[in-house]
Parts: sequence; C-alpha cells; structure tokens
Amino acid sequence: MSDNDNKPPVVFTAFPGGKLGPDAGAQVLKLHAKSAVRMQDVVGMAELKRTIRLRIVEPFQNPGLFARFRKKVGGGVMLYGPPGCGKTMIAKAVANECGATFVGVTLSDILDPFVGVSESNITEVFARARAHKPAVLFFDELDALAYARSKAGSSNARTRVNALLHELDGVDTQNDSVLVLAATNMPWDVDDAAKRPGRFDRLLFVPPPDVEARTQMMRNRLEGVPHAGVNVEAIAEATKFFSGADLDGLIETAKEFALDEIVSSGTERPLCQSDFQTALKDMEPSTMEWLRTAKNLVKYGGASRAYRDVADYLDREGL
Amino acid sequence: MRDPENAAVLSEAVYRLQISQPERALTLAASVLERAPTDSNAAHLVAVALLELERPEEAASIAADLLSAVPDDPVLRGLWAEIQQALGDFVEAERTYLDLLRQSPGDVSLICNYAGLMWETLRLEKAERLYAEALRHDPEHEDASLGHLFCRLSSGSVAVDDPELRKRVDQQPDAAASVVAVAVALVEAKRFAEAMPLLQLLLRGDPSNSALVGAIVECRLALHPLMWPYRPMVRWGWLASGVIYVVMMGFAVAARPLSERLPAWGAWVLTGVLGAYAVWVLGSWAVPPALRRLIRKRGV
Repeated sequence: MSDNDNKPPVVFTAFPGGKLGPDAGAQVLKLHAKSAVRMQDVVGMAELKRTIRLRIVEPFQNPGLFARFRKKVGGGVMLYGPPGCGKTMIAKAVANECGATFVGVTLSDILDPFVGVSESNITEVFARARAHKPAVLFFDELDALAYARSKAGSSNARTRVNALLHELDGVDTQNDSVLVLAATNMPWDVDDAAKRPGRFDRLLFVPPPDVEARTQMMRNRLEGVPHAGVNVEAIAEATKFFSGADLDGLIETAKEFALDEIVSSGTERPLCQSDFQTALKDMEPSTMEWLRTAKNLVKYGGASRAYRDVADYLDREGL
Repeated sequence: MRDPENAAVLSEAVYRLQISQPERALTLAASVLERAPTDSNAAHLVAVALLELERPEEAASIAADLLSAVPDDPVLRGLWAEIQQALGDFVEAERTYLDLLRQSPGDVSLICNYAGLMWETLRLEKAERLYAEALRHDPEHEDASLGHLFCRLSSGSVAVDDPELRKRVDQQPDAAASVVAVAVALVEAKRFAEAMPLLQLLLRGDPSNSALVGAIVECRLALHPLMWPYRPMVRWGWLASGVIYVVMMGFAVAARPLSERLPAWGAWVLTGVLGAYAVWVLGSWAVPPALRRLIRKRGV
C-alpha cells in the first residue's frame, strides 16, 4: 500500500472562477475523498478498467517497481470514444486511484482573444500540475485544443498547438509524475504530432457501456424512483450502443410517459416496463454516428494500429 | 459595452468555426444571442455557423435582418453573397461579389469566393484567372492555391504527373489542398491504385466525409481481383463494352459455319468461348453491385 492511499485527493479546476491571476492559487477548490469518483463507480467495462489499472494506475501506486525497471511514471494518455460514455468520469477516477492532484482543463480555460495569452495559459496549467506532483492533468476536448494544424484555419490555432506540444515534451522542465490525460470524441482531429511517442502515445478506446454496465446504470438510476415490474436486464439488452447519457434520456422519457398518464388519469402508479418500451420506440443510440465515422476510419481509411481497439470492437459488435 | 462573459463565449465560438466545429459555434453564439438579442456579432456568428451547417435559409433570414440595420457593411455583404450562392441564387451572389470587389479589389478571400462561384457555375477559365489573381496578392493563400490547382488540372495546363505537383504532395502530405487535387485527378484518370493511398490519407483526417468513403469504395471495387475481367470496362467504359460486343457478335456469326468444318473438340471450344462471353456479360451486371455492397458492409 502506498502513502498515497491515505492522502485525500485534491481536485481543482485549472482556473476556478475565471482566468489566471496572482491569487488564482487561493481559489483552489478542495473536495473530500468521499465525494470523488473512484474506479469502482465506473460500472462495467471490466477490460478497459483492467487496462487502465495496468498501464496508468499501477505505475503511480508502485513507483518503486517501475523505477527498478526504469519505466517512467506519467506520460500522456488519450481517452477517445463516442460522446457521453464516461471519458471524463474515468479520468477523474484515474486521478483518484492514483492519489494524484486532478487538474481539469477545458477549452474555455485556455482560450483568450488576446495574442499570446492562450499560449501562456497552457504553460501555466502545466506549471501548476508540476507544482502539485503527483498530478493528473486532464484536457477535455483535446480535439479543440490540439486541432490538426494542417486543417486549422488560423495561425493562432497553430501556435496554440505548438505551445501544447512544447509543454508535453517538457523540454525545459520535468513531466515525471505528471500524467497528462486527455479526452476527445474526435481523435482524427487531433494533430498527429500530439500522438507521437512521448506525448499522447497511449490511446485508449472508451466504448459505449456494455450490457453489464447498462444494467448497473439502470439499477443505480432507478434507485429511489417508484417502479414495479421493470425488467432491467431486458431493457439493458434492448439498449445496445446506448451511451450513459442516452440511458438517462430513456429513463427521463419513461418518467414523462408515466407522469403524463398519472396526471390525466388522476391515479398514481409506479414506473413500469411499458413506459420504457414506449420510450424506446422513439430512441436511437446517439453513439451510432460516431461508430459509423470510426468504421470509415478503420475500414476504409487504413488507420494505424493505434485504432486497433476500435476495429476489434466494431468486428465484435458486427458493425 | 459588451458583457465580458459574452465576449469570451463569442471568442470561443469564433475559434470553433476556425476548427470546423460549427455545431458548437452555433450553440455558443445562440446562447449569447438569447441573453443579448441585440448583439449583432452574436447574430453574425449564428448566421455563419448556420451556413456552415448547410442551413442557408435560416442564415439568410438572420443576415437580412442584420443588413437592414447596416446595409453597407462589407463583411455582412460578403456573408450575404455566400448565402445566396448556397441558396442557388447565383445572379444575386455575383452582383454582390462584384460590388464588394469594386470597393476592395485586393481582398484575397473575396476573390477566392468569387472564383468559387465561377467554378460552381462552370466558368472555369474565369475561375482560374481569379485564383491566379488571388495568388498574386497572397502566394501562400491555401484556398487560392487549391482552387488554382483544380482549375489547372481540369483545363489540362498541369498534368497529374507534373513533377512539381507530385513533389509537393510527397513532401507535404499534411497540405490537404494539393493532396485533394491530385487524388481527384487520379480518380478521374482511373488510376485507382495511385489514388487510393491519397484518398485514405484524406479520410484519416476527415473520416465522416462520405464523398471520400464513396471514392475509396469505388477504388477498391475497381482494384478487386473479381473485377479483373472487367478492367477494359472500368478503364474505357461503354466504348470497351461496345467494342467487345461487336467483336463477339462477329465471332458468333463466323462461328456457326466454322463449327461445321471443325472437329468436335473445335466446336466445343467455340461454344465455350461464347458461353464464357455470356457469363462475362451476366457477371458485368451482377458482380460490381454485389461487390460494392460487400465492400461497403465489410470494408474489404
């Protein structure tokens, strides 16, 4: 057991309450360990969790072992997959499991209309993470921040990517014990240079929740909601390729059907299977468009081995 | 004075447009417009995003409102021309571009947009001249460079094998403009094996592009071993088909008297040749669509 296990994780956003400033450090938002997401909160996806444990969490928890093998702790990992499938939640859980400081960065934290300010914001984010080692620096929507320079319509976007690449390399500084995690729905829009060794060289595919995950999610979401005769397993089977967000939408629609009937009949009843069946008729998984695009990439685009996980998933699911 | 929060959101919306994320740009700009309905910058960005999302009717309605307040604003009028072009009103689009170019003859983006209109209305020589003019003002301008290359390739003033052009593609595979131009020209020249890697390179950068997927499917179909017997048709189209038909009909007419003079095995050979032709003809109807479906489904 490492020392980190007893340390309550510190979670803060890069620029809480606004842009960087001399007092920005004073605004660090501290959360209690109990409220933080842990890996067991990420339901299902056993294979992905095993990979994350092996490749990301263990090096942080057993730094001695990895040091003996002269294996660097930290580096860059890019989580990619359809929207609404838990990439951000996984990133937070990773930070928690690692006992590391979590620094969450979004595009609006970095972006500034004044020339050069966005680049210095990037530098500052990395400096902050290095100052709180071990740290997990999490970039949401990496595709927006590290948008392929060959496609970028403005030179500002290009200089921003250059600044990010420079910090990822940590040429002037040390990125040891800083795990840089990123999430993106569109890995093909991320600059190729950002995916080279030493940067985001590990790509992890976060697929739509499997049947086990969907079952557990349904159970969790129905907790405390009056329901009777709902066959959660059957609904989970019928919602293949649904994202977590889609499942939330399904439950909300089912609730609306039930409430509509209650209001018009004046008789209260719990949520039942037929509400879900009616709701399901009008719903389509939002992940399909992403999966079709990914199929184009791996089946027609001759994508590199980095996308092998997606190719395996598509084959397995018969897409 | 503008609310700084709205300004930050609009700044992000502009960035989202620059990185080809018009949906996000629309959401952001629309949220500002909801809070500040008189914010003309937000309305302008909403119109641009709608145009990018191929919703020109909605963009036109917003742009018309904005223009009624500032009818001479050149940026808005440029947007208006683009919207009219998207709506298919080429006369109005051309009139607006010409007005604007009279005021700013050196505006490279404007020249490129006007050249794009000429290209769309198949006035290719004028398009080429306009792109050349744009490049004279800014030799590095990407749109002008791509447009000029397309025009030269289509007019035949540069060949797809032009060493300078191929060098540019080999040395700068990230420069999508030249790769697109060369890939399209190779497909048109039915040089599928050479076009395929370039199309794949482009698709890796833009995997939702159905036109690229379609082009790759056609390349794979043309290069598939089952299509080898149909190579002449793939290469020369109906001409090859007609020539083969005439040859085979001549052969069939000659075969009947010939078969009476030949020994039994000779007659079998003649029948076999005619039978193979019949199978080949039937296959030409059945094999390509079946194979295309298989490639689309399995990606093989």
